[in-house]
Amino acid sequence: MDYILDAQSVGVRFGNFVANKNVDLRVKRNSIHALIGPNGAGKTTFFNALSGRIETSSGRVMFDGCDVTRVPVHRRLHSGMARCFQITNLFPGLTTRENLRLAAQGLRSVRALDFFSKRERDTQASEMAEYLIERLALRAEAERRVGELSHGRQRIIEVAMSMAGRPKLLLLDEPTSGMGVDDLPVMRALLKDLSRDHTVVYVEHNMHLVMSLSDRITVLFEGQVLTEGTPDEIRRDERVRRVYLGERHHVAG
Amino acid sequence: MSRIMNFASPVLFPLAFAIVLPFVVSSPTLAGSVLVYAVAAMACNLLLGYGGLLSFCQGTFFGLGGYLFGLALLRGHCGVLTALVVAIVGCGLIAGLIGAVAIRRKGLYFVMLTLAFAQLFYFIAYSLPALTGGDNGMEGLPRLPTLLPFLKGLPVADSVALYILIAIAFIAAYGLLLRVIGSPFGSVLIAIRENEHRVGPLGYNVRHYKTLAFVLSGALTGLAGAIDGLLLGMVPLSNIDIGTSQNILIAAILGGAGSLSGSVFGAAALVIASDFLSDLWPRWQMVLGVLLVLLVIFAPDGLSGLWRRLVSRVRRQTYDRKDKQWTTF
Repeated sequence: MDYILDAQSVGVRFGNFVANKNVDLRVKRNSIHALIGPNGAGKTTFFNALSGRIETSSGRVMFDGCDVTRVPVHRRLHSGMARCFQITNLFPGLTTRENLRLAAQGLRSVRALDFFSKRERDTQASEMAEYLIERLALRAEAERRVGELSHGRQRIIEVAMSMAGRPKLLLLDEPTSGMGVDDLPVMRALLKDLSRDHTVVYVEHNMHLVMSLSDRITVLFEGQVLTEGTPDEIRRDERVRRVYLGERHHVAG
Repeated sequence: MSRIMNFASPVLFPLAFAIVLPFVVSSPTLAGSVLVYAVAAMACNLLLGYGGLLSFCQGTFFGLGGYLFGLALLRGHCGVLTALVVAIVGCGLIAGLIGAVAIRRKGLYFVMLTLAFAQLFYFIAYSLPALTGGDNGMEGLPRLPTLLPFLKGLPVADSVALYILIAIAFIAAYGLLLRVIGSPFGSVLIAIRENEHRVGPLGYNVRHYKTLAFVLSGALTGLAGAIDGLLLGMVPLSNIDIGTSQNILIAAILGGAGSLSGSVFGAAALVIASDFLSDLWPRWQMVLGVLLVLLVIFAPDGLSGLWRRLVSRVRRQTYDRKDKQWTTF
């Protein structure tokens, strides 16, 4: 089977606190794979370990056939792994277009050390920004500072930025967090559209979205994998129901 | 014609500034001093206003630039242009070394490392009087007519010729920095200032960009130090001390971090106010201190920020007046 991402018994500890323990995650190419679990299950920590933001204490991460366990974050991006943050993390003082252009320019970051040409000379980056503005329908916001835009729009720009590197794998940390009802359908359509040409792994709390959109779902609980399966299998799983009891989110959909 | 304008427009401001300045201030030396500090403040602003890096090494490069320039002239018997290149390249290289170490740390630790390097280089300069003149400074730098003999035939005074040379360096530095800020590199530098943690995940190695900014800033500050030596005919030890770093930082902050033209006015304000106040009262630096406190509290974005606010207020008032006229009409 062709797995683009294969994390093998990944462990992360902070001092005495074990955030993740023996987490396995295998993701098929061009699929949508959701990572769910109650608050504090270690989803974001595991994401940070996958994207290289924090170091793993044990286990290894294979990406596209290569061991990337010790590869720093900017190099993982160059090998085709992009990351979108749970907390919107943009350049608030810069325009939508410039945010996207910076993301595209980062692909060939050595050329970006050029300190004498005009920045528009990097036509590939400018064209990529233009393509993303078109594909994600951001035309009206293109020349506005992203700090002025609604939270939902910022989330979409966040996803757009992670697409700028034409990544093989997109890691999206709660793409719909804090989104208003108006923007939810837009993000949903976007995620569906993304899976045509990307592999998507995402952490999400909106169960309706997870159940209707994902090919496979992994459930984390107390830092470990509770179970993994298709949306139907997860929906029927007694243990999953149990860990979600007392939580606001119930497995419906 | 429009192509010429496109090429010239970025340097129109510094050109106009350099032409008007000597008619505003009392002496060509003071005007030259303003331009020297303007170059240093602009170079500082590349780090501070665009890269978000507060460095206390700016005085180090200012002093080193002067020393390297002087050594190239006195010991190396170089021409003035070669000596300038020696100062610029030498300071760029040393900035690369200091930057490679200091930029490994972020925030306060970076600031402390630059402070440590600044002290280190000050004491090196102090304890090598054979090279730097130590406490007495490096004296006896040749005057401009000796350096550029063809000037003797020209119908301008030496001080004017010297001012023109400094003005050329100032305009070139301004034009270069404008290009740097508008380049792909500049865009990443601004992104680092806006949100440093986001830049790495986009594929940039943040350290490379900061180091290059440090090198460019150091090289241009070296140029400022060199033309200061040309202006004074000597390099005082105080050029490499922490006070010079402070003055350069004050000029950049006074003008407004993130504004090149602001740095020019910040340097002008600092140099002219120092000159004016020091004639009035030996403890003039206290006045300057109070002014700086007031500015940071009431106008944290400096003179350029004050100017922008003033312009937008005046505009609003004219609009208001128009509106009233229309409503009464």
